[in-house]
Amino acid sequence: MSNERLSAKNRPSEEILNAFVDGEFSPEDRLYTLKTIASSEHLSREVCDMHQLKELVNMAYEDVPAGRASGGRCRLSRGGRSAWFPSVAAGVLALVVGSLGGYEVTRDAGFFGDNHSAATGQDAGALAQVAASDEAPGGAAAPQQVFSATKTDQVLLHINEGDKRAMAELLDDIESMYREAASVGRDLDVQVVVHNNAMDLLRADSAPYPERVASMAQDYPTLRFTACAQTLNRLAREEGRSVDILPQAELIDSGVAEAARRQAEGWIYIKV
Amino acid sequence: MATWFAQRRLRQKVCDLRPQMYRMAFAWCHDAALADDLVQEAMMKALTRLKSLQDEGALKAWVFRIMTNCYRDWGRRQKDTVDVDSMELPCEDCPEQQTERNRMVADVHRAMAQLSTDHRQVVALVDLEGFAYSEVSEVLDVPIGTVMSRLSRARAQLKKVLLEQQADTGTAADTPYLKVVRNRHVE
Repeated sequence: MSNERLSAKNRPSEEILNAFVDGEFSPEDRLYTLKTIASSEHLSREVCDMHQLKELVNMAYEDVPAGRASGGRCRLSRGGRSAWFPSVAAGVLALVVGSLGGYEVTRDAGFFGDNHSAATGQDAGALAQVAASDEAPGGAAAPQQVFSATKTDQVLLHINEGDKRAMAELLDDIESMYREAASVGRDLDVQVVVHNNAMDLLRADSAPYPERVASMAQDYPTLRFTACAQTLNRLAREEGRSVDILPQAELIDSGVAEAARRQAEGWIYIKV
Repeated sequence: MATWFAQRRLRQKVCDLRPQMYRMAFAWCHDAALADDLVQEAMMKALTRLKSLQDEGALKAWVFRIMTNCYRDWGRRQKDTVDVDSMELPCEDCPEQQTERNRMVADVHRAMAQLSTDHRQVVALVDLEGFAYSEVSEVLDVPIGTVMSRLSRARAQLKKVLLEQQADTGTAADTPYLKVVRNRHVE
């Protein structure tokens, strides 16, 4: 290695050296810079120092002190530091509303208040934001009245895809909805309409979560699991045998027709 | 409109980023509780705004940008009462600091804490998460040139502070974890 000192004009700037260390250059530029660095012992040491510093910083934060939610689970609600989080209620609300963020929600009135005539999942998320950012005078938590005062909320969840993970998450969301409704003293009716590829959810011979469906049906009397008879008939034809459903499930003539009927009756329609 | 399954996938990705977000938040503020709160707030905002995300490939930078804004908002609320001196940094003579590695970690934390917030954020984003400069530019909403100059100044200051710390504690000669000491100008 040459000890030749580069002239100030040819010497790469500190920014360029940092960019080199951080791998920001194209292969050609990297090669050119590498040659320049290699031509000076001083530059080589400087770049080496930068590499060491980078590694040192990385190492210093490998094991950071655990926070309250250090278990690695995804917590959608929040709590703790009052200056940060104005309302526990808003956090719980965000859990439910946030979880609905992926659904398509349509309804003429109701679930998120009378002022929101057609709430999409994104709107629901925005509502959660508003709720979470509001503070009562003095910084205290301001209870958020999300539901209207007197009506029972009626939600139809329409599932027709056979993804088991989605089914589990659907059940999670239903439980969250009931918890939230209970926390704000609201009545809630939920009907799950299952048809097409999602029928496994309610099939007696292949349901992925039969115990959970049973316990939820018991815990929430206003929760109904309904199976499309047309889908069951088709499956019976294809498989050459009758297809039984879980005892907690009810038969409806047509999943699509039921969804349309409930929408006409003013139920919130959520396509899963 | 993105499908429900796409949204589900994105939500899971946001959740999966949690450990990285926490490490980053801790590097910014050196306060476990605050870092936890920062992550929670950022995750909640990200989850409720997922549909505004245009490019799924930019999810990570987008989430960190949200957390940057959360940190900035916190700083605005706290700037009259909080400075680096109030950060919960490891003590220098606690038993757990007696090992070489722990002492080194504590030194780096102290050095990082002495950086300005802007500098600390850039260093953490580049060194901890390996963000490209263009991504850091997006996350912090500053030009790439600003990213480069902040990073350059931040590392120069880090190096200076670490060398001073070593000189103060007399550890440079026998435990040169920061070998820049030996690599200084040898004319």
